[in-house]
Amino acid sequence: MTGRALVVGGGLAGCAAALELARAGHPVRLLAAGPGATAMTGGSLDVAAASPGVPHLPWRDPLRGTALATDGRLGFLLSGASLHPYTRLHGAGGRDELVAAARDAVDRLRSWLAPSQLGVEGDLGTNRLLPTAQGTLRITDHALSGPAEADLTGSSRVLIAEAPGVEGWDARGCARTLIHEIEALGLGPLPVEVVALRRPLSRGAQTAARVAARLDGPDGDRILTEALHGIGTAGEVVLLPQVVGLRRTRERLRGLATGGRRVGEVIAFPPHALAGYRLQCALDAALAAAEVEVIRARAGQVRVDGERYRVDPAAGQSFPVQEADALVLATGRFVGGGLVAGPEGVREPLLGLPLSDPEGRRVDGIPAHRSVRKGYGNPQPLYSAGVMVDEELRPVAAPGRGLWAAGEWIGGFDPARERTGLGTALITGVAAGRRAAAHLDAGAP
Amino acid sequence: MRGYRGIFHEFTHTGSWRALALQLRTGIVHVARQLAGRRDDGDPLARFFDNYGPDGVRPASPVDRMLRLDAQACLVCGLCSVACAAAGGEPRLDPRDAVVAASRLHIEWRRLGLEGTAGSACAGCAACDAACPQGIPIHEVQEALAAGPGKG
Repeated sequence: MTGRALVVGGGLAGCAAALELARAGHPVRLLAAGPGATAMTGGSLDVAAASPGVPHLPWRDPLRGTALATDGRLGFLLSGASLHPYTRLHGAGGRDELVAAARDAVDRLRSWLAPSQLGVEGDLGTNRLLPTAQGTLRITDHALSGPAEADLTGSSRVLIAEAPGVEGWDARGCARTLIHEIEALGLGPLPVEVVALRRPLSRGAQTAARVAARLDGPDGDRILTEALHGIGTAGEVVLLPQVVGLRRTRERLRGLATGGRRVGEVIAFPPHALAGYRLQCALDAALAAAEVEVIRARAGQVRVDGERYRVDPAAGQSFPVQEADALVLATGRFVGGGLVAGPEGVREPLLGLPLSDPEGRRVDGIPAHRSVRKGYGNPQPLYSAGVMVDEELRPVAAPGRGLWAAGEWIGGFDPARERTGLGTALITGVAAGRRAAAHLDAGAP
Repeated sequence: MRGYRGIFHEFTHTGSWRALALQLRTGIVHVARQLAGRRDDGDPLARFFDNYGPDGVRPASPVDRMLRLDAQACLVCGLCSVACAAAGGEPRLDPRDAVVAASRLHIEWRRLGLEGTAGSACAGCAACDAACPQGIPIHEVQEALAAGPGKG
């Protein structure tokens, strides 16, 4: 008899764990309270990213002046006394083993997203240079369809499309910052220009989501083609806000890449980002295709009875108590509800586990504001708080042998500074799912 | 969230001298007023209408207060707006804007002049509710806006 597997958390880490368990042939249930940080992503999937402008994290090789390849950046994350979750994954093989695990996890993600026509572009060996809506640059390794097509590497000119009426999009402001950014990073000569579209994308002032929904309609492809008619020639990149449809983004952007020009979306931030919505929809479709039973409700408390876990519903939620022999917790941090900042301090609600900051100091029970430091770019213990895990991704101090942690719930890294959020979610999610599957295969009680 | 647990608890948790001073002053003024004796100005609700009625301000109903507390959890992530657009909704007021209005405009948020239009254009499909990471009952906020001031 096969044991029962349960995953708590419906973001990238939870979906990855559930899909890996399903692939190993185990029936899986997944408890998802609602969209979390995954659904808010701006479009880059950073496995080993350190962006310019993030102090203390090198993105450039000081000797050669070129951007560090992923190997170098991963090496930095693994160096010294780092408590980054990646240090738990490389085993005896060191960096090479981690790189192999990351490549494998990205391939898995590609296979889940492919039926939804959502691509994951890039690889660990090359850097992509992605502009954001504010005009700053992100140096990263992987990106989702949309922003992935806006890679500035190797382009001869950047054309920023004015799209009046699209909320949160300021082409001139973006251009001003981008010019400074290119100069400051020494990437030039790369001219940046603002261009007017041949026809408007929005009807009056509209949110990016409503423009995208309109472009999903029957006239959408024609509107886009006409709007971009004659803009950009070979080697040039045309930047749009995130409006190129809630679906079929990759296909449409490729259709627009005519005459050697490329058309891409900038990395956007909530509330103007659609990349996270596209990713979450594609993951939900993959869960349905893998026949993972999804319960849309919030978990309240985890109890342990011998080697068996019981998950109760949270207050106001109704679902039968879920029993599991293998439990993967991927509840996220403050957005997902995996960590809660209450009057009695920061705490972990499901099991009341101890929480630590990247230096290994306990932060649970300390009021949230005490863990915030002054200064932009300084390490913030609050944003990197999480549970500590052992080499097997089991939370230390957690009861039983059938419990694994995945995603941002694991502490020891600061996604706001290191920008490895979705990469960590993916790689730890896949690893946790495989370990849970191996535990069940080994004949868990 | 636990309720207010006293000034010393709050001071030890926030370390704010300013908040402590303000609260001590409030306490002293309160005791002084009690000692001086209260004036009886009649029905407080009638007094409220006398003072604010001509400006069109109505007292917040319990539903208003509850929705406002819920709405204050908003992260302004815009996922409600995306879900609404994906469901084909075209309400006159975007769900995200409705929640921000409810959380920021105090008792004034029902006076946006949307009576009869916000509701008629919002199909009430509640796609926004399912998309909210904070579990805010967004379409109830939309309905309250549609109902107009002083109702519900």
